[in-house]
Amino acid sequence: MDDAERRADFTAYVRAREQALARLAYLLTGDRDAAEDVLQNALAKVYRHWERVRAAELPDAYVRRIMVNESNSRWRGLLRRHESPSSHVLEVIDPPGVVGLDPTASIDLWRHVQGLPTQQRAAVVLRYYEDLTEAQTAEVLGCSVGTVKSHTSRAISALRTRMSEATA
Amino acid sequence: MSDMDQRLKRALGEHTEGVRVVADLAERAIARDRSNKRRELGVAALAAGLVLAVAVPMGWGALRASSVRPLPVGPSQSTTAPTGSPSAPTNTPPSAPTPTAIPTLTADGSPAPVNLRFATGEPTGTTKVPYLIGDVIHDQSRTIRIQAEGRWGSLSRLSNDGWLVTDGDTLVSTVLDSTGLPLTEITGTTRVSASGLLIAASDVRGSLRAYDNLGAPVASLDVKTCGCSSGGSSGYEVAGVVNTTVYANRGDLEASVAWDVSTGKTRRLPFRLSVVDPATETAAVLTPGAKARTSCLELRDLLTLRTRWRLCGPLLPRTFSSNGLYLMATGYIDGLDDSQLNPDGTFRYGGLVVVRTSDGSLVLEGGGATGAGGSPVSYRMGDDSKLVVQVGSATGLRGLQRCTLEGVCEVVAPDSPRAVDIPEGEDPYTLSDN
Repeated sequence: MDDAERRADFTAYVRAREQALARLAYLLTGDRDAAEDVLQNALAKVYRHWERVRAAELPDAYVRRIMVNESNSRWRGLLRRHESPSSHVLEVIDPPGVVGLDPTASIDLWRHVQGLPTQQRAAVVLRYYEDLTEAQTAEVLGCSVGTVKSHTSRAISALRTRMSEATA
Repeated sequence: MSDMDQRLKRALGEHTEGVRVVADLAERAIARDRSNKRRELGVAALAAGLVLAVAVPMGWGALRASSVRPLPVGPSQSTTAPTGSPSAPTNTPPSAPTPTAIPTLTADGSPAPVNLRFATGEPTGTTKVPYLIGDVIHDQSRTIRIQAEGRWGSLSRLSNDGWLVTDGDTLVSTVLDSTGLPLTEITGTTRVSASGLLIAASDVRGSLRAYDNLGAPVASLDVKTCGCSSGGSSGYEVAGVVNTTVYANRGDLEASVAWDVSTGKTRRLPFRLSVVDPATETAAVLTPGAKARTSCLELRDLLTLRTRWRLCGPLLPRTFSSNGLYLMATGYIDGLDDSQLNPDGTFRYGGLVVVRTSDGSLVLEGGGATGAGGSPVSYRMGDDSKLVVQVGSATGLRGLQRCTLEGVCEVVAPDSPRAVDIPEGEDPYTLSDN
C-alpha cells in the first residue's frame, strides 16, 4: 500500500466512524477541548500504525483502547498549539433533554459521571454507552473481567449515593 | 436492567446527541501524527507512544546485543556550576530542610523575574545554534544544502562536521557529510550525543540501535530485553545519549534503561525520562501530582537516582541548555486540572519558561499573558546561555530570534509561513538538537 492509498483508506475509515468516535471521546473526557485532543491524538496513533490496525479483525476495539489510554494518560500532557483557537474539530450543543428523565436529574447524573475516577468512568461509558460486554470492556481497559465488574459496581453505587443525596 | 442502569444509558446517550465533527478529522489526525513525529524527533518523547501490541517480525538478525564493536570515545562532558548566588525561589519555599528532604517548589503562576520581549523588524542578530529551513542548514556563516529529498523535522550535528536530518513523515534519518551529501539512512526515532560521536535509535519494533558518526552500526539491544510488552507498549523509546550511554524509556512503563553501548551493560531506572541532559547526566522527569491531572517536574540524577529538586505545577520540560545550567519548559499543556489554570481558564505560564537547574527556580518566561510580540514555538539554549527561539505569530508566520536571559531579543531570521494552516501545521525552522 503506497502512501496515497494508505491515506485514502484511513480517511475512509475515519469518515465512517468519526461521529461515534467523537461521542466516545466526549463521554470519556466530558469536555470539548479535551475530547478533541484525545480524538486527534488517538487517530494520529492509529494512522501511524494503520497497516496493523486495518489488518485487525476488530479495528474499532483497537481504536477504543487507544482512546481510553489517551484519556487516562493525559496528565503527562501534550503540547497545545494556540495559533488557531477557533479551529475546532468538534461542535457540542447542549442536549435537549430526555423523555422520562427530569432535566435537572439528567444534568446531575452527567456531572456525577464526570466526577467518577477515570477507570470507573471509562468502564461505565464502555458498558452503558458502547454496549460492550464485560469481556470486551476488560480488553479495552487492559484489565481483568473481575476488575471491570468492580469498577462498574463501584461506579453505579457511587452514582446512586450521589443522586439520592442530591434529591434528599 | 435496573432503573439506574436505564437512566445512565439515557443520560449518556442524551449528552452525546449534540456532539458533531465539524472539521476534516482524518486530515487533522494525519497532521497531528506529523506534528507528534516532529516533537518526538526534536525535543523529547513526552507522550508515551502507544503502539498496538501486534508483533511485526523484522529482519534485524545481523545486529545483536553482543555485536558491540569499539566506539570512539569523545571528550567527557563537563559540568559547570551556576555562577553567582542562586536567587531565592519565587514560589513557596522548600520543604523541611532535613538532609534527605527533596527541595520542593510550587509553580503557582507567580511571574518569573524576566519576561521575554520579542523584537520586530529585519534580521540583525546571529546565532551559534545551527538551524534548518527548507533543505538548507545554517551553521553561523555557513550554509549547507541537503542533497536529498525529505520533509526534514530534526537536525543534529555530528562530530565529523556531518549532520543527521530526519524526515518527519517517515522517521527515516539521513546521515550527511559536511557538504550535505547523504551517506546512509537510519530508521526510527533518533538522538545524538552532545559530542556528535554516537547516534542512538529506537526502531519501529522497539529495539535500540547505536551507530557511529558515519551511520555504521556499533551495537544493538533487542526489544526482548525491554520487559515491557504487557502494557501494550512498543518497546524501548530512546530519550537521550550521555557519552556512550543510551537512555531509553521502557514502553509505557514508568521506567527506563541505561545502556552502555561500549560494554553492552544495562541498568534499569525506576522512572520515565522526559528530557535527558548530557552535560550533567541528569533528566527531567514528570511525576503525578497530588491531584488528578496535575504533575510535578523533578530533576533526577541518572547515576545516583537522587532527586535534586521537585517543582510542582503546570510545566512540561522540553530541552536543557547545552551547558546544563537551564531547563526550558512550556506552560502550554493540555488536559490540566482547573486548579492548575488561572481563574479565567487561561494557562498560568507561557510557551517558554526557563528554570535554573541548580535550584529549580524560574528565571524567565516568554509568551505568557504579559509576553509581547509572539509565542515561543521551539527553542534551544547554547552553551553561551543565549536562547534561540522560533517565534510564532497569530497569523501563523514563524521567525527566529536570539534572546538573552535579561529578556532582550533580536531577529535572527525572517518570518516564514508554516506548511499547513492548521494548529498542527509544520514549523519552517528546525533548531539543532545538540
